[in-house]
Amino acid sequence: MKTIIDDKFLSKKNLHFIENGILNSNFPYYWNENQCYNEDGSPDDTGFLCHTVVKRPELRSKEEPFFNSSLGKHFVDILDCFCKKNKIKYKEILRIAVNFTFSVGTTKSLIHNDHDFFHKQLLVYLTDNKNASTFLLSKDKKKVIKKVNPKKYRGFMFEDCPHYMKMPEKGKRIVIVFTFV
Amino acid sequence: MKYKVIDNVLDKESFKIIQKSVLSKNTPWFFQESVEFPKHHKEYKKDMNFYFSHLIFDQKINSSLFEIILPILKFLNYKALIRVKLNFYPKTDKLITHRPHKDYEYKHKGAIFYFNTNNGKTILQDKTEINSIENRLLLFDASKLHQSTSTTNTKARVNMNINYF
Repeated sequence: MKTIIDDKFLSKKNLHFIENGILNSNFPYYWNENQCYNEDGSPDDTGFLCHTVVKRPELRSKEEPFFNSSLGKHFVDILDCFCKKNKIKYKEILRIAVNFTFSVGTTKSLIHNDHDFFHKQLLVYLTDNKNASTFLLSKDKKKVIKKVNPKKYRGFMFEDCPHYMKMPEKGKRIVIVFTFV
Repeated sequence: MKYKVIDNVLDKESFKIIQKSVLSKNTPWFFQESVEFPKHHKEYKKDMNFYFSHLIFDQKINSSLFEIILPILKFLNYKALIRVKLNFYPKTDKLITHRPHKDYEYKHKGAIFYFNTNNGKTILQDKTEINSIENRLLLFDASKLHQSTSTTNTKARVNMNINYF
């Protein structure tokens, strides 16, 4: 499985957008009672705030605009910068969201895949978090094959793979999530 | 003005409808860096004092939730509203008491409506502690010093702060 970690891919324009468009008090987040669902369909016990830029394909009707956020194009610029520098091609963006998590009492998210078909995933961390790492697992979900710590402006791309995150013990963890094919 | 606490302000059904609207996926929450801690303060640096707000009214209606929360405002007997603001304090690992503050320096009235029950509190100038109990309304003098806290036993502490004449 291909993974890429790139700490310096963001353009000046991207950085300006992140600092002034996302990390400010005018950027709206929406409360979600859970992040994932257990195998029996019950919700997990996490809770987080989210700004959905592009809805998942299964939740997006043909009638509604592609972007769920007026800031959509700035996010695509970030994805394009990463892909251009790292020679990644994509045909379609599946989902973009900004996830804001904090300590809610649970230590980690459920193990999950973002889609049930092959896709690539880019995480762009907007905060430094020593312990709130992302863990990639083997297909059988038994073995951790990669652990990546959030570092501000770090891009971490991986291919379709079960994964989970440790919840921050203190403070906030903000990450942009892109999935694409 | 002495403080007053009114419990079960709304009937259960009305409260649940309003609570559901406020905590729904449709309410935008805006990040605020710190609750009353200046940048040099040690608590500010711990990155544990951020919260989220949603401004419903500030000299004019600023949110579609205004219509929804009107039944609560009816209990205030207000002549004029100054500001109505929702606050969302995320859970912290230990209870953080924010610094004393006045909502506005000039004489006015204040009210806090609690949307969920948790171990967070409002602490008045005379150190009276008002617990966060859902469907509770606190009436007090918001031009006098008071404090808020975070919560450690729910995912978030959500209340509505109202300033009025």
